[in-house]
Amino acid sequence: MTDCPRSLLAVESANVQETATTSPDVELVASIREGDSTAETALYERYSARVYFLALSELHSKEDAEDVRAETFLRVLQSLRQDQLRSPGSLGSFIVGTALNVIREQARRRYKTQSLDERELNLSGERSLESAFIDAEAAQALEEAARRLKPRERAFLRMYYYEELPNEEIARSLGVKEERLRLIKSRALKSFREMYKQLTKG
Amino acid sequence: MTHQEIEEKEIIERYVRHKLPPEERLAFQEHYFSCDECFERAQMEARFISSVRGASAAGVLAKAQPDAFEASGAALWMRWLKPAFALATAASLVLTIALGWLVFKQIPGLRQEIAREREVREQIERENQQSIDKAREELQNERQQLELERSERAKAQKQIEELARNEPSQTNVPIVVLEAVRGGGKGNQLSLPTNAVRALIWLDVEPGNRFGSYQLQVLDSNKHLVETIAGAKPNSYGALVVNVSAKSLQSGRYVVRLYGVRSGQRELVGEYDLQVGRQ
Repeated sequence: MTDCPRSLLAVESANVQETATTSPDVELVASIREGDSTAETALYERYSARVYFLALSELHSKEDAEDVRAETFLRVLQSLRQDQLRSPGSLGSFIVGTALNVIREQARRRYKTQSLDERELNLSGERSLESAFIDAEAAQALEEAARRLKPRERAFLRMYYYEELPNEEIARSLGVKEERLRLIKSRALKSFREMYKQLTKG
Repeated sequence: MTHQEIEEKEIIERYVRHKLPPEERLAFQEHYFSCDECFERAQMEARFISSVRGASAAGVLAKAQPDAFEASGAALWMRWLKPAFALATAASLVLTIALGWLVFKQIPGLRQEIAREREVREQIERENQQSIDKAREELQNERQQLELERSERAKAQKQIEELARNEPSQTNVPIVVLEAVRGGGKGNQLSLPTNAVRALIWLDVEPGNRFGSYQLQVLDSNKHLVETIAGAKPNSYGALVVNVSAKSLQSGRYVVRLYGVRSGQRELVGEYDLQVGRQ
């Protein structure tokens, strides 16, 4: 996958051109339609992480996200084999739409099968479901990044992301200007990113 | 959806935090399906926010207390340091201002004042020196004058003594009493015998001590000075009696001028006609 186009308009425009000059997605779609199994593998490699992330963002469950990924690719490949994709240049949007459908079905199915207690547990523990994104490296990276921050900045992270207090209240509580909050956020994220990359590289 | 829009609206963070409306959420999902950079950033932001929430829930990111920041070690240090630093800064500021005031305002003023005083003092010293020099010069002149007078006096004394030795003694010395003459009278007459060596002139002067001494000048009819007699003082009769050389007086008309001398200044006191006749 190449660099991001600067706008959707640009994306569409690029897609039109790519259609004419055979973009990677168009080639991929064409190959899958012709029964090329390596093209199917390439499709999976290109989009599987995105589908998983999308599903995890929506369902907050690794297991459900895995199920959504598998089901989504099954449906996408079936559609491509049967030549049901009208515009091969918009393969990404097609996969997103398919994944969201699968997610909705998954959520509906889970809702039906869950007991009332489990539903209440899920509602009250919605925030804890986001721990799906946390791995050992992320936790360590945050610890390291937090160590570099001042107490005031650490307090900001908690108040902003966990307690979800309004900026105005946080600024007043910490005795800083509101404009500074964005700077703190940016510094903390940058530090976290560096630490995480360092940890995952090793 | 452009990258600028994503940045300005903080789309990635809002997506992860489920703060986007459905349309924008879908638009961003479609966007990161075709954009590696935004997908990577969205994943990282999701990890970060989840980690922050997890750490907060676990108590790793402790809840902020009202004085949490100040209660930390650094804050305690700062609590002491801030007033000290402020005090030191204030003191430095005051010293700097005072120093600046001294260097740029007071010292130049004082220097100017000192220079002015020095100049005045030098001027006074110069004037004093000039006065001293002038006084010395005057003193020197007076000394020279005195010396000259002494010398002349000694010389005159010598001449007088010489004359006295040479001159023969004389009896019946001719004398004339000078009186002021008004109108056309006979006037003051002095008859000199052919063998007369000297003649006496008698003048009455005003009583009192208005003048320290008198000076007598004898002038001929052409106003040429014939003889001067100085340092004359009145006798017990309140009259001046002066001795003139008979040789310098020829037959003819003379004028005798009498000056009073006071503090080195002379003042004309009287003028007398004198008719000299040789026998």
